Amino acid sequence: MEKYPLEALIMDYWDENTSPDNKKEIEKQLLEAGYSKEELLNLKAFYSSLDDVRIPEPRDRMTESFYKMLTSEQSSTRDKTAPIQRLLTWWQQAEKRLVPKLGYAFALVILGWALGTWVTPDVRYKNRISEMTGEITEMKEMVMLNLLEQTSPSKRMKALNLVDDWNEVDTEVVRALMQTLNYDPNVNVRLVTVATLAQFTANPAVREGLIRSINRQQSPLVQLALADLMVSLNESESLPQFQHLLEKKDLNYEVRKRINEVIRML
Amino acid sequence: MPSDVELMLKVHEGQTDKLALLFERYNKPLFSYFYRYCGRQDVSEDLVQNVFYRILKYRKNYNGSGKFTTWMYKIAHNLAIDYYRKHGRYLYHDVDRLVDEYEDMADKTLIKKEEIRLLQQALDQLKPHEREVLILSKYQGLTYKEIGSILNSPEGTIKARVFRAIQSLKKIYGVLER
Repeated sequence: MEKYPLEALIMDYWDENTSPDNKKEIEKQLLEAGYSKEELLNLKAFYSSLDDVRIPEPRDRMTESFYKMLTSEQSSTRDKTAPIQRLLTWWQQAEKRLVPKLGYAFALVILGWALGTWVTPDVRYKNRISEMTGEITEMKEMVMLNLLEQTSPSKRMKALNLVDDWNEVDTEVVRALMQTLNYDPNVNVRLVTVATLAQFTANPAVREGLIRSINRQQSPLVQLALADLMVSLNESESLPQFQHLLEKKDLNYEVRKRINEVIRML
Repeated sequence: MPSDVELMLKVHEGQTDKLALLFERYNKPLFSYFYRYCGRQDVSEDLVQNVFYRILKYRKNYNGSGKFTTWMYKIAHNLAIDYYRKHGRYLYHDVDRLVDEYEDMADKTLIKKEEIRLLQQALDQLKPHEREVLILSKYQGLTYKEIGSILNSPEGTIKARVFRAIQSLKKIYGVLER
């Protein structure tokens, strides 16, 4: 139990609700402590006189400000919570109906994700690589064809060097190479063209072009190169071409000798 | 008529419009508390507004276990303390205005008017903690127990503090009277 300070008893002594017996007991204690009854009465009267100190009323602006503040706070709270509240309400209404469907949808999403992860990127990657490879090949072909048309033999040689790195050639490149083999004014270019075309003899068009070219060549070096190539290819289809070449009276002796050997071998 | 606690619990749950009812009940007592404490009308009106702003802001802290007014006056007490820390030296009432301006003072004798003027001056010179216990007990009509809850002191201590405040006030008044 709280032990009251002596002064606290005075407030109980003044309290109208304190019973008369308690008041007498308190009065006794206060008198023993040195307080006079008159002093306590004076103080009580003084305390009561405080009721006369009046204050003004608050102005209307206080009420107006309060309602402004309340409205502002309500708007702010509504703005913050409205979307969330709407979402919660919607969810509560739709929960039972949607849960099984959402389950299936979720499973489908997972499946889609798995397929997307395992399959699609690989296909996409391959497609993209394929696209890029095609684009690069087209670009290389364009450069090579352009170089092959240059007047400088070294640039045409450079074009032929580019083809060395390719695994296959398309019709347009074959046509351009055949054109070079048959009509290029520079023997060295034509010789290198033979070597270049030798890489693509798996292509029937190349083989046929090489065979047809045998009788179009005037240079003994190119004639010999083609003869050696036909032997290495064991191309019997070239025999008529070589036999026809032997009919030429101005045929180089070394070439004639080699062609006779080739005809025997084939 | 819903009780303070019922209204405040509704505010707690989000029915913030119910705060208006609490404002209508307590804006004048709160204004009285602040005005008697700081002596300035505009400041007191702002502080009342701040009390209700804080009630709204901290409504989730109210759980209904205690009297609403005790919680409200705790907020008011903290605001008054903050104000005193910043502006303590300006805590003086316009005594002439208090005595002369109000109609109900018209029928008072000059002697009585002078007594009231001196009383207000004496109140202004009381230490803030003494002034506050007098305001809460005499003018706000709170029980000593409620004041104890607001000021975090035992009931007996509050009673003793009120008595000592009356003694101090009487002394100051006596000096002013001379």
